[in-house]
Parts: sequence; structure tokens; C-alpha cells
Amino acid sequence: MKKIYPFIICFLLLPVAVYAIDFSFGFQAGLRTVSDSAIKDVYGNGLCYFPYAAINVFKGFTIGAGYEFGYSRSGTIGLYEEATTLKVTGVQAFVGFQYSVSMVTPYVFVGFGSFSYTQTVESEAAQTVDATKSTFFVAGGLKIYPMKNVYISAEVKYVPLKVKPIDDEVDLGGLRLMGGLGFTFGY
Amino acid sequence: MKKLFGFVLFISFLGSLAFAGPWGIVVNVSSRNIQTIDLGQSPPKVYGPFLTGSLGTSGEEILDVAITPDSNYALISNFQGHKVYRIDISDPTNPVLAGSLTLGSFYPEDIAISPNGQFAVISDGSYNRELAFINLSSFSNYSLYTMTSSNLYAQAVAIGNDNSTVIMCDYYTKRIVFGRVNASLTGLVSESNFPSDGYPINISISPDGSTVLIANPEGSLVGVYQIIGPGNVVIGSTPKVTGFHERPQSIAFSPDGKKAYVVCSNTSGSLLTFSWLQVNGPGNVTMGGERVTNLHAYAYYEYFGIDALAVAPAGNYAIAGNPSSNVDSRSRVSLINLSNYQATAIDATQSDAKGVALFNEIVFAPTNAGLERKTNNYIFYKEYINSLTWQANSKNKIPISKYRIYRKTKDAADSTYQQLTEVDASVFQYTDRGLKKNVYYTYRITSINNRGLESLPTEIGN
Repeated sequence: MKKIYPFIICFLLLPVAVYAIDFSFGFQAGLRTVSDSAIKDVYGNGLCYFPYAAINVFKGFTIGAGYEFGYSRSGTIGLYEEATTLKVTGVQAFVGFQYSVSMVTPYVFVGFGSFSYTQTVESEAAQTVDATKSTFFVAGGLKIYPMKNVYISAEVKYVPLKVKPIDDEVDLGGLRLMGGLGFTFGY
Repeated sequence: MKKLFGFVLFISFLGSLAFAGPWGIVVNVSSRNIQTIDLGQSPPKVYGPFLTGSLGTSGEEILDVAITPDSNYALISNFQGHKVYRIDISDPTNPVLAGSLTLGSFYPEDIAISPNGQFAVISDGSYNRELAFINLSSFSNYSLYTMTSSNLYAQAVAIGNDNSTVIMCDYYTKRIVFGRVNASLTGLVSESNFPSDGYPINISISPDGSTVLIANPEGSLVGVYQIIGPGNVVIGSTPKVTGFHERPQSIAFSPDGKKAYVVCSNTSGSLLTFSWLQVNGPGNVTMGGERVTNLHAYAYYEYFGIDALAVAPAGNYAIAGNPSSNVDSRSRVSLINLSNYQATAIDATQSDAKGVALFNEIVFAPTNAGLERKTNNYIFYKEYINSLTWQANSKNKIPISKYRIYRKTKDAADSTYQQLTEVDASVFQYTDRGLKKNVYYTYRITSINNRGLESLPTEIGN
């Protein structure tokens, strides 16, 4: 169900897009790091993917939305080294500014995301953690247009995500170091 | 990982064992061996004979048997061999000779063990004025005490539940002798005596230590006495119980002390008879029922001091050997149902069974129980774990088949203990997982032997 949020957001943005300067969508993939040492020890860093859509509404001001997925890591946890899996996904909306200089367009964004996370442990003594937490994040990057409507992107995003679903607070946040490909349609 | 260690709640030695059963032990006088009887089975299952060839040589007789309070050992007297044997009966299916003492020229007959298990007093069934005192903590030496009362002997002996009062009876001079055990457990102080009404032959003291009954075969009566203080005995308010048509030889009290049972011999080769007495109070005893049943052994006179009657700790059964000084091949040990006085022969017993005793099979609880509180970090939350460990109790001779673990919330009533699990006897640890922070438990661990009997628990908590 959560996976359709980006499409809903895109649909809602369509009326705006009618009056927009340009409309773009893209797909990014890259490394997702984890800040928490315990999370890093058990699950480690992983890959994540981020399809998104954005609209340049006025002189470089951009709004957009996307869906982050792909971080699903397995490991062993605890005294008995039981098998465990941690999965984190997030629906994100962002607003930012981009400035085109020839083929290169640097940009910065701030956003707000709703992140879902699930931890399972193969033990009768363990309980499944399944919860959601919303947070702001920041991102910055570059778009390079080798062709008129096609760009490649490189982006760094930082998401702070401190959660406490049961007893202990855990930082599920971290950096996303991603690259991608996108398309822009101008009006 | 933060670890919190639990503490062991001290359980006394006696708290670590459980009784079940009971078992009987039978001394076969002329074949010089023993048999054990599992009275927990119906019909009773007889084991043995055991130790044939180890309890004396040809011509010698083993007579009496007494059990230590912890049910670990039986002491057996060898009259002509001048010996007292100690038999390890912690595995009743396999009794083991665990030492013997040769008492010089002493003729061991009746054995009495103090209720606290510290010492035994043994009478000399011959014309000897000595008593043998054995310190049971070591069973390595003995002391002979010569009675100060002139020209007296002691064929039978008993010890009061004060662990101090010792009462003897002398058949030949028809006197009751008594005194207090000295501090070194090697003899008597304040020895005194008074005449008996007839020929005293055997003694039994009530569980509360107040009433003394002395069998008197020649007078066909039971003398009644009262212990009024350590080493201080007086004639009972009912001095004797008469009305026996035969010869009282062995007496045993019910566990609650409200009744006493009497095995009567005869001189004609007839069956032993069984009677019971009503204990109305200290030193006050009357006839309850005379010859309520016949036993399955044939009598020709009787030995001194041999305890041929024993009552089960639960008070529901008794077994009777044969105090007769002769052996009739038809004789068997009798099992007496004390609720209806039905006596049945225990067929697999031998015809020369004399002294008998009953004891409880022991299952010892596991030892060295430990508890470690562990924390298992699942990152988002912590699981708390109580890790239990224990060791096998080497005192268990009957193999342990499993351990059973119970749990209750700390400080909850003992009635809330619930069984958690059972683990195989080869497993000495259990991990109680999935516990919550600040919720603590107390555990009980018991041993279950391969006969299904469970020990008392070892208790541990955090």
C-alpha cells in the first residue's frame, strides 16, 4: 500500500505540472549507510533505491516526491547469534532549489519522509518490530545533462531517524550516496 | 553484556532429598544375607538376597537391623561373629557393604540408632555387662561401656527421641535399666534400674519419646513406662498391658504414636500373631485388639531384642519378620495392612528372615544450583534471560532419569510454582528466555529417578 504513495503524490502534482516550467522523473541507486554502531555491526550498510518525480515550479524552485526502498539486511544478533533481518523503506516529499549552469545543475533539497522499519529475529523469545517514524532530511547533488532532456545525477542525502518502538532508542538514520538517471520534460 | 548473578537460597541438607517408597529390609539369620522389598509396588517386589558370603561365616547369625535416619545405611548385627555391618542402602536395589566393626568378644544383638543419627548403641545378647557405642559419623571405632548396675545385663536397647535417654532390659534379672548418654557418646551417666514385671525382652519408644513399651513374653504382657526427662524413666500410669494369649516379642508404634503394634511368638510352632495397643497418653496404654490377625511365620520361642516388626512412615503398612529362634521353611515375611489388619505373605522372602526395618527411598535434589541473569540485546529492545545451572547429586545411587524445573514469580506464594519443563538427566542447564525487565523469578529444580520418584527441590532465585 505504501508503495503507491509516490504515484498518488505525482497525481496530485499534475495540476501544478500543467503550469510548471519543467517536469522530471528519475531513478537513483546507491549506498545507504547506518549511523548506529549496533545496527551497523549486525546489519551493516546496504543499497537503497529511490524513484522520484519532481517539478520545477518557478525559477529553480522544485518540489517532488519519491519512495526509498531496498535496504533489507540480514545478519545474526544477540547472545545466541540468531538470524535477523532489518528492512527500512520510506515515502519522501521534498522541496528545494536548483540552479542550472550550462550542462550542470547543482541542487539542494529539504524533505520530510515517513519511514517504515521492520525487524524480525528467528527466535521464539523475540518479538517482531514493525513501526513507522517521520522525519525531516536534507539532500544535495548535481545533475549533469549530456542530452537536452536526459540527466545523470549524483546526490548525498542525510536522514536522521531516531526511533524507539519498544524500550531502546535506535538511530536508523544515515547517509545515502546515490547516483541516477532522470528525464526532464519542459513546457 | 551486563550480567547479574542470582543468589542461591540455602536449603538444608534434609531439604535436598525426598522420601518415597517405602522399602523394607530383611535380615536372613542363617543364610547371612539380606533382601530388600519395594513396598511401593503391588505386590511388593523383593530384591536380593544380597551380600551372601559377606555377612559372616558358617555358624554365625545375623540378627537385627536398624536404619540411619537419613535412610542411607543399615546396621546389622552378627552375633557369633562379634561384628556390626554397615550397609549402604541408598540404592535399595543394590545394597553395598560399606564397612564393618569387630567388637572384640562382644556379641552384638539389638541395635538402636539415635534419632539424630549421631550414634548407635548395641546390646550384647550373651552374658555380658557391656554396651557398645558407635559414633556413626565415622563408623570407624567403638566404645564399650560396662554397666554400673551390679550383676545386670542388657539384651535389648532403645534410644529416646531426646537422643539422650537409653533404656535397656535384662531378661535374666528381670530389670529395666536406663540412663543418659554422656557427652562423648561413649557410655551412660546417671544409670539406674528398677524391676520389671516379668522377663523383658524387647523395647520400643513412642515417636514423641514419652512412652516406653517393653515386651515380656514369659508374662504374656507388655510393660508400660514413661520417660519424664533425659535418662529419667518411671513406670507408666497403666503399668502393663495384659490379655495376650501368646508371647509379645516385637513392638512398633504408629508414626503418630497413637497406636502400637505387637508381634507375639509362641512355643508351639504355631503362626505368629499380631495385636495392637491403644496409646491413650504418655505412659498410658491399653489393649486395642488382641490377635487381630495371624502372620505368615511359625514361632518357636524368640530371640532377645531383634526387631521383627516395622511400621511404614505413612502408617499404612507394617512388615513382620520372625523373631523365632528356629527356622521353619514355611515362614515368610508378612505384609500387614494396618487399615484392616489383613496380613499377606511376601512370597519371595526367605524362611529365615528375622529382623526387619522399613526405610524411605531417597532421591537427592541436584546440587550447586546457580542462576545467572543475562541480557540479550536485540537493539530495539532487550530480552532478559535467567540461565540455570546445576550438578548431579552424587548421593543418588538409583539413576536419575531427568530433572524437573518449576518457576514462580519472586516473592509469590510457593503454591504458585508451575512446572516449566523437564530436561534429560544428561543436561545440567536450562535457559529461561523472553523475560521482561524488572520481572524476577524463583526456580525449583528436582531430580526424578528412573523409578519416577521426585526429590525435594533445590531452590534458587534472582
